[in-house]
Amino acid sequence: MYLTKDEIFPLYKSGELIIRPLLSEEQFGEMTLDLRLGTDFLVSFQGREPYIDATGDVAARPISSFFQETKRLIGETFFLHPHQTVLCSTLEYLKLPNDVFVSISTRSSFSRLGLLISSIVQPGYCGCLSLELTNHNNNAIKIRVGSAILQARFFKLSKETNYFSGERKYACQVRPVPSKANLDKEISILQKMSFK
Amino acid sequence: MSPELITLHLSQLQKSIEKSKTNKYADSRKRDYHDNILKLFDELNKINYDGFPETSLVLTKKIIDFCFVSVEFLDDSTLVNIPHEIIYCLEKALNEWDDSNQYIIVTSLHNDLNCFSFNAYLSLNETFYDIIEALFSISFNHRLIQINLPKYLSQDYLANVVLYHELGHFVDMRYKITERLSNALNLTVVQKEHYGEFFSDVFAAQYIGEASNSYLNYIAYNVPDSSTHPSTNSRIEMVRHFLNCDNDKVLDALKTAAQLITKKELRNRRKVITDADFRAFIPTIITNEEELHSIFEVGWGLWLSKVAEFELKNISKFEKYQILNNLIEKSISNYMILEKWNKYVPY
Repeated sequence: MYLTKDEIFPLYKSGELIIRPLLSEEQFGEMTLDLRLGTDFLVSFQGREPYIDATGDVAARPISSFFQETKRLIGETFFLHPHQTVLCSTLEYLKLPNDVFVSISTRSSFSRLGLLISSIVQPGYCGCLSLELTNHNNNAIKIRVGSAILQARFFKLSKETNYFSGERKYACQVRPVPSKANLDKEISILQKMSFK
Repeated sequence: MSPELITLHLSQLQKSIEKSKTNKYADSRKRDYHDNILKLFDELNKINYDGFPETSLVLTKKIIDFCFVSVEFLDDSTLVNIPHEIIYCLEKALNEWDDSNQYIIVTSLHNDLNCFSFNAYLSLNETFYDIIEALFSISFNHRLIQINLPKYLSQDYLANVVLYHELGHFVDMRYKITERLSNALNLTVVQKEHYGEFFSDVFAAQYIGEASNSYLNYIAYNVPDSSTHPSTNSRIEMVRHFLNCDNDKVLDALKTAAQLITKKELRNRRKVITDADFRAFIPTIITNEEELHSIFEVGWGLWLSKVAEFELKNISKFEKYQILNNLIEKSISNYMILEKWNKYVPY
């Protein structure tokens, strides 16, 4: 069930939905919650290694080494260069109810600039949301930290789920975290297959 | 000393200056200080050192060294490098003891895991600032409080409680508290050193309570008395006396001296806050500075105990460490964000 403001706002007020900080209640739209760009960034760059190895090879260079960390204060600006991928996170730390999941997309105003994000957040998730921002425009885009670039749509499930039932690689994160695709349990099984 | 060695030293400084000249700082006072270093370098560069007397060459070398150390600390104090959230907490504490806006806390990150230390060179040694003003008419509006910390722990909010102790050394030396106490009580050199350490421990405990003992008891476990430091056990005991408001001869002397000299009281400056939010995996809403400092005690309290809420969710020890660090960082950064936001958004 798709939740509207009349249903989302009471969840926030009752503490079932945590949003910290919520700078303005105007972030609640009729069907969405606006989320802001956070202060920390991981910027991809090209180094000596010709590719990012996500196969689980233990000798592979760590994925984090393909990114450079940088930080801004709220109100400062950040440049997104054409076709560059930048990992960042929401300013808000969220904790979702166990029966509500969230669909994330860029707000229309930012989609029109060529910034596209589409993601799902599991019920019960807690942490800032990691965002993989890629500028699809041919021009660099200057954005301001703290601006509401995302919108979250809330969906209620018919029953509760347990976010911590399995391994959770990104729980309680507060700054962007590089991909841990190489740590997927399945990867090691697939690796063994390749040796036969 | 030959002029060639001075020009060698200057050439080395030029490399360092070139690399750092566009550093971005969150604090405009650092930019102001850095710009003065650039001006000073330009002045040093204009001089022809041929025929300079030995004493002048030696002095020039010392001024170049001053520039090097300044750049070293400024370089590690950019917004990206400095442990921004904990330095913010230290600045709040500093402001309670010196609100002159003259002092800037800067950090240098080192590979040595036990390098936590304070150096008074750029904060309390006025000699170079006076000489530079007299020789080059360059006046520094600020002084740098140099704190060294391990590079690998720069974002570790449990370990970095030690920095409150290092700030305590600055406050002690800034007001010459134990120095004056030493003169009054006729202390030996070793006793004076011990009083200085006790003061810094108690200074830290004002803000972070028992958390200062928690890490000390690890990095200096069971260390006996030395010429520079009292035994770890006596330091831990001193902090407990302070927190329990017990009478202790040394503690009472430190409290009295601090009050007389600074007109400020060594007292509990923290407000103990609940750990319920952390147990629920969410950052705490901090509403004032007393609560701000207490966040470290919350983190340490949970780290040192079994947390049923974490165990029920099969959180591993490494995850627990990361989660606590993250929650401390986000609690502080949310406070910083809201402080700034509320300044600009009218209600």
